[in-house]
Amino acid sequence: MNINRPRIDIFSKAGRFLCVFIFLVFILLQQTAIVVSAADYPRPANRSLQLGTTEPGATTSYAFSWRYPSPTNIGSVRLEMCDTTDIDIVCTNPGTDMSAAVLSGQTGGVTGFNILSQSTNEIILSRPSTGANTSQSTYVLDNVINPVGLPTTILVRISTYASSDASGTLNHLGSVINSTAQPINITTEVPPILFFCAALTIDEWCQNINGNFIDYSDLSPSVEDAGVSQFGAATNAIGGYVVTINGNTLTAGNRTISALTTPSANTPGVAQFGLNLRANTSPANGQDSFGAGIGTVAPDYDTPDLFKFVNGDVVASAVTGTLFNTYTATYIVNVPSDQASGVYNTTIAYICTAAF
Amino acid sequence: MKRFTRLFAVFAVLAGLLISQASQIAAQSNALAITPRKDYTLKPGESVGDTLSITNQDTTNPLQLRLSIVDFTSQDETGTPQLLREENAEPTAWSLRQFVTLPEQVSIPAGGTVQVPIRVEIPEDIGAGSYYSAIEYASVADQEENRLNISASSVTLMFVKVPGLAKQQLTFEQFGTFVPDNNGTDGTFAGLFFSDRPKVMSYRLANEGNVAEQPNASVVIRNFAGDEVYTISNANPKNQLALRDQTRRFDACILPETVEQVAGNGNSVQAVVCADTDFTPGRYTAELSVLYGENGNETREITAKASFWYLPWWFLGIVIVGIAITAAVVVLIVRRVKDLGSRKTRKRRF
Repeated sequence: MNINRPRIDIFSKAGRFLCVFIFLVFILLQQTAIVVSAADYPRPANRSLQLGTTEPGATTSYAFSWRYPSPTNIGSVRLEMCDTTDIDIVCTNPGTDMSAAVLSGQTGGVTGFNILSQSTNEIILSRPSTGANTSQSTYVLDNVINPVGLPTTILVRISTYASSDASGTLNHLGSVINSTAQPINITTEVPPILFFCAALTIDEWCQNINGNFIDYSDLSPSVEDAGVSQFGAATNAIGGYVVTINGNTLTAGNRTISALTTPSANTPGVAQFGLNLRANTSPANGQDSFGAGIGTVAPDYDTPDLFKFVNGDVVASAVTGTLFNTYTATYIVNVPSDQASGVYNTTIAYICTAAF
Repeated sequence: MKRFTRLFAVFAVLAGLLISQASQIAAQSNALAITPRKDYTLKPGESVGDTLSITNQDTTNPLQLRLSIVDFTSQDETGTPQLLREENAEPTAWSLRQFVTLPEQVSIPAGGTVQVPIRVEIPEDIGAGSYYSAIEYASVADQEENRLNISASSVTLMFVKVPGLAKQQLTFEQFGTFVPDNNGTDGTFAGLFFSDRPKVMSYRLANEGNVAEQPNASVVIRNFAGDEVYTISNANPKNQLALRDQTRRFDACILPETVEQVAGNGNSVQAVVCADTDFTPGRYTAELSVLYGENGNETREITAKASFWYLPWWFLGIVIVGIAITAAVVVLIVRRVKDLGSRKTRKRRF
């Protein structure tokens, strides 16, 4: 009598059974996650919103235009002021006032509307429920007041219904977008400002700066030449800032000292020109960036003892508004013994811009 | 003797002038505060006069600036402008160089502020769309022997929108959860998170039109059961632009937090940082909705969906242990059934 159990065979079958079971459960759960979203409603096609003027605070006309995507019954249209594009998110009026608007014109395939109700935030257009055609229709509302102040995005959510009072199931759902323009003179906000300075030494917010050149005297193949300078930046612009280095390597007429185009170590006796923004040990110069801001050093210039110089490279940046940061640049200049003699010089321009 | 005295006097005056000139150059300020961006909407044939405010932050030395208009484009997929500073560079298709007038040089006393007048004149025959250039303020520096001269420049980005029927075309490229690198400018799209929870949703749009587009977007994140767990009602919170011919990445914090920082001197800034989210383990689906369209143009819409998993190591550990226990139970049941079956067979034989 053989009573040995065939372990491997049974385990293998159970394992396979388990895998199939888990897979089926996963598929089942996946199916339950499918939801009907507002995004699934048909969109009015070729839709637009044209403002008579984009001047902030102006009383003007809003011309809505779209094509109904299918010849369904249309009895009412809801126009709702919004500040978000997703039609699943509850609307908040960005500042437009439609409470005194009048329907001054309607042209195209689907007309016959009157204003059923209106408030600051929305208007309901109504007509006897009849079939719509799919040609372009335009509705003009006069006496609408634009949001005041800074440029504001105006989103209007358009919902169409078969009923005449904007009740019941939606037929179509979509949004149109426009915005008011930037006023020339803004007196209602703190304007964005970009603070920037570069010198041998600077203090916070650039109020005391000293020196604008590093003197290398005579360059020697056996001695490393290094110098430091500082720059600092801050901004209240929400997009932050970017600092780039601009200029050429040290030149004397048509003779140049090769720039380090990849991060490289300091090697006296080899033609090198480069910089970084860290505290270094070879040469023992430099300092890590400091300050209350959130500015950071670009990766290629952020390794101690590795130096690089490429015209136009970003060396520091902040991704949002930030307080002041001070950055210390260490420059190395090395020459080989056969470096052509001459008077070598250059100007390195640090350019600070806001991000767009 | 008289002649010698006169010569000496002339020499002294010239030397004094040279020394004063030299000291003026040496004591040049390199510190400025400027308006980083200007936006205008001008119809063809319209013009506008405005001022640029420039402050010399240095309280000791005067600031001498050379002003110029340079074109720019995008350096990468972020908002870093690439200034086209080459001499005799051809104007870009979106250049404002021909349409802006401003002084070439400005002097600002130590700690002072000047309002520099500028004028933007848009020609009658210009087409609708976006036009932009940058005004560069370069501190005047002197080049000397064996010297590395340091110069500071700053830039005002200037955008002019000409209304009318323009070519507006954003093409969808990518959407998903994003892991920024340390300096926040670059990073990678990811769909699996094993340790940190996702904090950023990003999308990439290619601008093939002639308008620098500032799209309006929102994101809704749903869990496995379809419930909304996060909504990003403004997924372009920094009002970022996709320049003409640029593929732009837009980042939005899933849970944005505005932090006000105040410096010792009273200056304050508002920084938007991405706070920690509280996703529980599982699969999530994010829906992106983008709308864009200028006045007088069709509203265009882009929608996209992406999914991601948050599976922390501790959760995976529990799942593996759970699977192991389930497998063991199944194996035990199968063995027991087999055992029962074989016992019955043995009984029948006896």
